[in-house]
Amino acid sequence: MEQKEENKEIEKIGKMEEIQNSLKRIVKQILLEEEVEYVLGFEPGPLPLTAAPLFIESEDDIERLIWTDYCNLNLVKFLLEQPHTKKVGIILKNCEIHSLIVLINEKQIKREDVIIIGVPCDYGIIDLNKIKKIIGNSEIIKGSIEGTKIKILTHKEEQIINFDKILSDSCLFCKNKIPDEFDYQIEVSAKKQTPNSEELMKYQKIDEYQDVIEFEAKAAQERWNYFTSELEKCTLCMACRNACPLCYCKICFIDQNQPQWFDKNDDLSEKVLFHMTRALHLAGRCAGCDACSRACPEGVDIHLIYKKLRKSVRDRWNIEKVELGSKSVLGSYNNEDPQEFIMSEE
Amino acid sequence: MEGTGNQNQNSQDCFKVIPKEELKIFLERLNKEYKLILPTHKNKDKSKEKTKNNELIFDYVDVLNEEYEFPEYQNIRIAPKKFLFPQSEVLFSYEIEGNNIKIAEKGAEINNQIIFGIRNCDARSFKILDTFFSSGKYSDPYYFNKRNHTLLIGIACNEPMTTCFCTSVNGGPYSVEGFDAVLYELPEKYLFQIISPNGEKFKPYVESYSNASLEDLKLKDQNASHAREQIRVSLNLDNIEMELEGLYNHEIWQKIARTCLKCGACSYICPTCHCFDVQEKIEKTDIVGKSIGKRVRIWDTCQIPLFTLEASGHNPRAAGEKRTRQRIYHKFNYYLKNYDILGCVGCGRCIQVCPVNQDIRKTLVKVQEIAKNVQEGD
Ligand code: SF4
Ligand code: SF4
Ligand code: SF4
Ligand code: SF4
Repeated sequence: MEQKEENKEIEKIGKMEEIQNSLKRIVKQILLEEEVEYVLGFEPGPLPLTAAPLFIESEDDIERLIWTDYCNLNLVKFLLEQPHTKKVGIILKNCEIHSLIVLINEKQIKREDVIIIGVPCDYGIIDLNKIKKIIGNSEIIKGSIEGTKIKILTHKEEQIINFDKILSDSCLFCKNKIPDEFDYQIEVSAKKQTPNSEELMKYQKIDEYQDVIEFEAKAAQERWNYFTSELEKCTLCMACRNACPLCYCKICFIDQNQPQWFDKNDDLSEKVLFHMTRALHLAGRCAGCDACSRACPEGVDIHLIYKKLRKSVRDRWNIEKVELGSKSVLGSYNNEDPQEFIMSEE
Repeated sequence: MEGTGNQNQNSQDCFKVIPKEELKIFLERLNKEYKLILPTHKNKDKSKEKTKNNELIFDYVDVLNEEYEFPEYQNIRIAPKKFLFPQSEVLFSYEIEGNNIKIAEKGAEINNQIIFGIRNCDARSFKILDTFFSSGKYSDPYYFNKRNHTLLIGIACNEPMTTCFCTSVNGGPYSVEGFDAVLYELPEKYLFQIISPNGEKFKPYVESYSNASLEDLKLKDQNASHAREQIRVSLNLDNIEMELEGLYNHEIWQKIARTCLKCGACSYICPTCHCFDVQEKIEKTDIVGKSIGKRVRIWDTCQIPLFTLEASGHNPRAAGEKRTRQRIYHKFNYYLKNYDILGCVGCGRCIQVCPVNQDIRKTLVKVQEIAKNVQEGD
C-alpha cells in the first residue's frame, strides 16, 4: 500500500505512555513466563482516535500494542468467540473486569484460564459517537488529547472540546476506576500529571445514577419520545449486541427462526422489541461498560436503558456490582426480595 | 475521461457555467418536472421540524420550501442506495378469509426523480446494482421501477476523504462513469456537463447558460489533479481475482475474522451490498381465520450466521472466518467471475462504520502480500 504521509499522529501525554510501556513489559513477561495462547490488547486503528483489537501471540506483536483514551471496545467479547487450548491474557479496565466476572459466575469462562491485566482509568474512554454528534458531518482528520481536552481537526475547522462532552457516559459518572480483580495491575503514580477539570469533577460529586434520576422525573410521553426518536435511527445491524460480552447466546432470539420472534423489518415496533428484550436479558448482569453504545454506528443512545436496569438492581437489591462468586441477581431467590409486583396493595 | 485528451468531450461548449447564486433557480426549475433527492439537514420527523439534524442525509427536498445543503463538503455517510433498494420494501399485501384471497400489488409507477449531488463511487454502485438486479432470467421490477425513473446529477469530488480509495477500483474523484450529468465546483460557479444520453434531458435547462472559458477548464483540471493527490491509498487490483483464487483455505481469514464482530454494519452501509431476505409481516389474524399481512423484502447480510442457515439445521458458513471470506470473495472474485466487474466502488464507508475498525484496504494488501508469497513459494 502506498501510504502517503500520515497526518493523523496522536499526541500522547506522559501518563498514557507510561501505562503503555508498563503494559508492554507485563505482556512480554506473560508471554515468556506463562503458558498463554495470546494476550488481548489494542493496536492503532485506521482512523484518528480509533483502536482495533490485537491478538498478541509473539514478542514481535508487542510493538503494536497501544493504550489510549479511545480503546473503546470491551475485549472480553473476543475471549468468548475463540476456542482456547491454553490460558489467555487480557488487558481490561474495571467495568470490563466486572463483565468478565459475570461470565465467570455464569460458568462461561474459568477464572484460572484468564490472566487479567487490570488498568486503572484516568478519566475514561472517549465516545467517538459523541464527537461525531458535535462536529456533524465532517471527517476527523486529526485528533490530539491534551489533559482533559481534545483537539479535533476537520476540513473546516479546529475544535477544542472538553472531556465532559465526549467521555463515554459510563466513565463520566464512574467512581470505581481501580481494578477490583486482576492478576497483574498497572501502577499509576498517585500524582496526576494533568489536573482534573472542574466540569469533570462535577460528575464525581453526584450520584452515579443522576442522569437516570433526572430522566425518570420526565413525563411518560417525553420519555417515550426520547426513546423512539433514538431507536428510529437503529438499523438493526446488531453491532451493539455483538459488542456486548454478555450477549453470548448460541442463537439469539433475534436470529431464532423456528419459531420466529422477530420479523427483522426496519420499523419502530421491531426496534423497540429488540432493544427491550435484549435489555431484559441483561438485567442484573450488565456491567455498565457501555461498549454497546460506543459500538453503534448510528450513534443511538441506548446507554440509558441499561443504566436504568442497573439502577433498579441497586435500588431493589442494593447490588452495585456483581462480585466474583456471587449468586445471579435475578436467577436466585431470597425471602427478603421485594415482591410488590406479585402482591400489590393497589 | 479525465484530462484534456478528448477534444469532443472537453470542448468549451460541453461545459455550461451555472453561477453559484443561480443554483437555486436551476434546482427550482428541475423541481417542476422531477422530485429532487438532495443532501439536507432537515429532520424527517415533522414534529421535530425545528430541530435540525446535525448529520447530512440524502432525502427528498422540496426546494421551494425546504432547506438543502449544496455543495455538501464530502460524501454523505449513508449512500443513496436506499432510494432504489430500501431497507424494508413491501412487495405486496394480502387479505385472506377462508378460501378468499385478495392480493394488492405495490403501485409500480413512481415519479421521475433526480439524485442531485451524488458522488462518483455511489453512481458507480448503481451500475453494480443494475447488473445484479438484471442478472439471470429475470430483471427485478421493484428495483427497476425506481431505477428507470431516476437520473443522477453528480458532483466531482474536490476533497476526497481519507478513507476513499475509488482510484484503486476503476473510479476516481473526477470520473464521470455512471452519471447522467455532472457538476464541477469552481469558486463562485459550477460547470455543468451532460454525460449520458439520458442526461440530454437536461439540455433545455442549461441552454441559456454561457459556455465555460478556457480558464475555467484549466481550473477544473487543476482541481482534478489536486483531488487525485488527496487519495492516500492506491492499490493495484488488476489481478485480485487470481490472487484470491489460491487463498480460499488460508489462515488469513481466521486472523481477520477473530477481531470482527460479525455484525451487519459494513454490509448495510455498503452501496453495492444487495443481499435481501423476504419476510412475512402478519398484521392481524383473528379466530375465524381472517388474516391481513404483507410480504416485505428487507436487507440481509452475509456477515450473520442466519444468512446461510439451512432448514435442516446445517450451516455451511457457521464459522466467522467463512463469512469474513465471503464478503471479500464476493466483491473481489465472484463478481469478476460472474459479471466481469468489481463489486466494490472504494467509497470507504465500511472503514468509517466498523465498530472494531477493520480496514478493507488493509485486508486487500494482506491478501496480495500472501498471494505473492504463495506464488514465489511455488
Ligand atoms: S449491555 Fe452494554 S453496558 Fe451492559 S455489559 Fe453489555 S456492552 Fe456493557
Ligand atoms: S448497534 Fe446501533 S444501529 Fe446497530 S442494532 Fe444496535 S442500536 Fe441498532
Ligand atoms: S468488519 Fe466490522 S462492520 Fe463488518 S461485520 Fe465485522 S465488525 Fe461488523
Ligand atoms: S466494500 Fe466498503 S469501500 Fe467497497 S463499496 Fe462497500 S462500503 Fe464502499
